[in-house]
Amino acid sequence: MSARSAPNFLTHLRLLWGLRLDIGLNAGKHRALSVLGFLASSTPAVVLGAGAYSLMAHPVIAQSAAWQAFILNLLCFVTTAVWATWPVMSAGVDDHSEVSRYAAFPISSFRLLLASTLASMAEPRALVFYGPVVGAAIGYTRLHPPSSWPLAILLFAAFALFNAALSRVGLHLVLNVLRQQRSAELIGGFFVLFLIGASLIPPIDTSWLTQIGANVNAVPDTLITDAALALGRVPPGWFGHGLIALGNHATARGLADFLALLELMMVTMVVAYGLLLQFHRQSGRAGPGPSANARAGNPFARTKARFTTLVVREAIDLWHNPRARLLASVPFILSILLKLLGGRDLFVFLLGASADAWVLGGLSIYSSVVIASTFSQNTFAYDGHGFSVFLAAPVELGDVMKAKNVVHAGAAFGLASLEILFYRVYFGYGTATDIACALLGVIALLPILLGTGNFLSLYFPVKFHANLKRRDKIPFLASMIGVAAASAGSAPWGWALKLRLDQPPDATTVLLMALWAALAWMIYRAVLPRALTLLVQRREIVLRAVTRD
Amino acid sequence: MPAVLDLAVRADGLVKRFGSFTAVDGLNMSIPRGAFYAFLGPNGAGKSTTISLMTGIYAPDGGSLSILGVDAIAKPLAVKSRIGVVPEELSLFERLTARQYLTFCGRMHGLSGDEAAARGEELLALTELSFKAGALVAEYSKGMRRRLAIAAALIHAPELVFLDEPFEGIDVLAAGVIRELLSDLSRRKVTLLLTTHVLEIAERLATHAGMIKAGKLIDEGSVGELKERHHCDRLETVFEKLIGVPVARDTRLSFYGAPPA
Repeated sequence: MSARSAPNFLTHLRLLWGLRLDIGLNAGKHRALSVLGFLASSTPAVVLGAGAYSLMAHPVIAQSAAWQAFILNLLCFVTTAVWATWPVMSAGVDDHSEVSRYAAFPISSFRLLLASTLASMAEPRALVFYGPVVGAAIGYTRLHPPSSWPLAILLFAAFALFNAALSRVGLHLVLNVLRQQRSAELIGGFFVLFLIGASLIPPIDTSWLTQIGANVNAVPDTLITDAALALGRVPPGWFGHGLIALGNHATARGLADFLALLELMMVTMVVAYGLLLQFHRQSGRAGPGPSANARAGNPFARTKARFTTLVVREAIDLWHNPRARLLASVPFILSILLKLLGGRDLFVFLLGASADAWVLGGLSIYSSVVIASTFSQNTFAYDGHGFSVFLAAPVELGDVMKAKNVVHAGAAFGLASLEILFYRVYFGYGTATDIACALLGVIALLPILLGTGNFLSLYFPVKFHANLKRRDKIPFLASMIGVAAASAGSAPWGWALKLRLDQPPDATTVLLMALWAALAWMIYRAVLPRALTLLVQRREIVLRAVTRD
Repeated sequence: MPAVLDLAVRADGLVKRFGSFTAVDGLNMSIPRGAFYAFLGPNGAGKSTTISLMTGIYAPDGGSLSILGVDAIAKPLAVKSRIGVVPEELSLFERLTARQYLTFCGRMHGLSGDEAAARGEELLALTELSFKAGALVAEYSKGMRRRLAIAAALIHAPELVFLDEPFEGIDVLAAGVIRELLSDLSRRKVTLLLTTHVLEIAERLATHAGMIKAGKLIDEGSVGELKERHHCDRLETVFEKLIGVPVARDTRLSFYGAPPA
């Protein structure tokens, strides 16, 4: 019984790649379908990449070194921003159970983190995120071949590694916050501090947008040069900066950018590692429980009817769900960023007088989607063994689903309303008609999301572990159906606004939206009985899915 | 007490805290090599945390720990190569087939692909899972998962195996397969540490036992020694004596009305 020597790093890396590949190939009923699913979900990468490449090849851009640098550095910044904020936007949906799953194997946590981070870089999501910047980089190198191709490739690898490391920091940070008993206070506190900090920073000056009209050539070169330089001086822009240096045959400068990225990546990995250890030191324990005072109230003692009891239970469950708390903060953070970065001005430039209707509506619709989609499309996922309590209780099972729909709709509408109020106060824009359109857009969207969510919950039941150490991945097909439902549900709102061209919405737009909302709720009412019947038929399948180990 | 070299596990003053809560409080433990050690205690006593410390999942806040003669705090990876772990909460890769899963586990322990696959087949047969070797773990029942987890823990022929509640929530047939497997391992002088609430199983299988309460080891020794020391004829009685059992309370159930006299 002599112990074998543990595999080396490359073997570990290969094993982890192989593991992800096997899991991916096993995801569908047929391997060919899984491969097709992977290709389909990676397709946007090609489209985005081709778009960025074409932009670089555009005659106006191709003739301006300043514009090329600006686009390249901006895309670097956006790519890094997407990677870093993804864990927050997705509320920590990534698989973060590595340390506990691999605990039995002779592999150190740091090596596991490294290998796992590297292995995660070839997921469809990663490919899509890199599409635009890779397209732009290829476009740039076609115009200015680098002095050293190997160094250009290494530079990109360092950039990708830096982003992956940054994403891990974000993920582990989110997980550490979600694990805390007082996650709501932490998220709320961060939000308040962010808001206070943001209010002290003057938004960037975008007045030039309104001065130049639609003519790119009219933008002062100094402005674009300054912006490109500024973007190239922050770490995400070091890739663009380095590539431009190589394009100008300044190899030493390119090498310096590569080394700087590499060093920063290593520092970021160490931070990610520290946060991971912090998370796992406390795994299985969520700190001290709530005080006796916090537990004193018993809302169930005051409910009048059984259905109300179900609604209250669901509402409490959602309120205590750390993922819901995190998701609820995202639209507000986006709004603040939008103001700081002058995003509204950009929309005014692009959309004219209807900009606020679009932005306000878009943010409120996003707010409702993050709650309604996340929780209604796997509506029994958090119930676990609680679902068997519903089955054993003398209640119509359909009432359980209806109660969930009521709570998810209420929470989504409430968050959207808060976001609208926040926008109106924080930005100081938005007419009563804009607000009416946004609210009606949400009211019209919710029944579509809930209706689809009910069927998705029954056909693709998954379990989310309350301890947050692990959660099932939602099947790709289910995710895509969810995205399609959100798109279909919000499309009429978009069409109604588009009918007005550049003009703000009017009473007719509101009427159209109201009609669509009424129609959407009629559709929901029509399909609900089918979902309720299906729930009874598939209750055992759902039970098995949400109660398994 | 056996000589230190004959010990598979030796813990001295082991401590683990979670914030203000001390889960393991100065625990001392000695498990001789080849012993079948039943680690007994009520829920929340610190059994699983102790196993997590011994298997390198948690780092202790104090004390020393030697596993198979190796300093487990300084060299956790060297220890992991020689031990097998069946945790209470099974974190299996659900989207792998059982065959893929076992081969993966073998490879992670440094076995060659062929060797891992061959051992996997043998273990699947031994745990009576061959008939579903090509099915995804997600499709397995609780008992099948438990057997698969044990198979995965054995694939690298560990000298010491930790089993945290392996009999929890499984049917009689699965329990029988696991019991037979453990007996066989014990006969081959593999050291086993088992936590269980089923004292009848501990009584039947264990050669040694330790009782833990509120993070402290109250007593340990061979099963015979423990019975003799506490003047009991069964391990269950020793457990009741050391840990204590709740006294039946006068539950009035007023809403049922008064019981007949």
